[in-house]
Amino acid sequence: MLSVTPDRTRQVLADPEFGELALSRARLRWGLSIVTLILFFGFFALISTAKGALGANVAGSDMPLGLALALTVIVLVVLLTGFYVQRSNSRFDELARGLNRRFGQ
Amino acid sequence: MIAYLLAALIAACPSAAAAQTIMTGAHGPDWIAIAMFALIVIATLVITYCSAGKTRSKADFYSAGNAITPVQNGLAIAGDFLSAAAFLGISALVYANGFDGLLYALGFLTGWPIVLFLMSERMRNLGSYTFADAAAFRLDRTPIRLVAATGSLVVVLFYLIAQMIGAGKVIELLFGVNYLFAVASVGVLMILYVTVGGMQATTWVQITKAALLLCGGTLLASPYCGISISASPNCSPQPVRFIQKARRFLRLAACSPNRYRRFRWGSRWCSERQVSHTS
Repeated sequence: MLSVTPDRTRQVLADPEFGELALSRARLRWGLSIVTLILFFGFFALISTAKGALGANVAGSDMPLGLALALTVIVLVVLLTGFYVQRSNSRFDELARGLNRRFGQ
Repeated sequence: MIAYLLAALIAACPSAAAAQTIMTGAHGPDWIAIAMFALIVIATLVITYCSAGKTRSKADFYSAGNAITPVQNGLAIAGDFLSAAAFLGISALVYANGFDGLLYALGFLTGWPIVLFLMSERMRNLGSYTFADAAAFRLDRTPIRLVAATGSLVVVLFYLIAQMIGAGKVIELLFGVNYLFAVASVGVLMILYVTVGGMQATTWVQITKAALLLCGGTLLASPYCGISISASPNCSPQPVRFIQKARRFLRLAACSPNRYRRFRWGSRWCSERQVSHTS
């Protein structure tokens, strides 16, 4: 366990690599959250405004368009989750490990 | 051993009570369903009993001794997710409300990744298990814990009511026992799983549940996706008619609100006729 003094904290906060890690993490976190929210509320808006259109079948099958869209949203959300996990396990963990090595001694 | 006897006794209770009432049931007993149910209850109780033997410390009880792999934990969370309320409730909501009901399924699903995106990293950095721990690290401890506890209890209470009603109704239908008795026995069984087996048993019971529900759900959904699973010729018309009906419902829910409302409150015969007019 490394000791946390105000000096060391300032040193870590001023480090450009730490800044990059914090910034890209925040960007990924909020970006993906906003995309997920847009997907959900977009579908919400579509249901409340264009219900008739959603009832039409997808060309060439008898699946209603709305159901196909809902399945697409589910698949997209799963893919976003996978992307987040992959990203934080590879890139961010790498950066954090480098920082720990430099500051932890 | 005492716990095991108690478990066996409780598992036996519904069937003993059912034996008297089942003969008077209108549809007659569905022995296959009852056998499946009993089998699953016994299997989960055996899991509980086995892991109760392994639980030695507080860490074993609360976090399964940190011995759960990510895949196991993921399956257990999926088991949580695929609850009676989700499985029966969302089907019923889609059946009754069409696409509006579908929003519930999507709301459930899209909520999870947002929690992951916003919370997981902070929790991992702090090494904390709960949202309350992570929030209490930065904010005033007591109010945050109060808010978190109140929030969880309120959600759990409403969630639990739906689950207990769902499970109670299923047992009432299956065994023909009194509804109150059905709800109480389900509650006792749940308490038993958690108090006897701790996190280890709960996780394994959830994994079993997830596997069963995923298989069952896939089996039910596959004819819709065009995969034929009909085993015998006299078995096939039923699912086909069910699927046609389900498609009609979804399409109807998408039609003009007036017709939809009339459909909801109108008689079955009327609605069927309207459907054939619209489709």
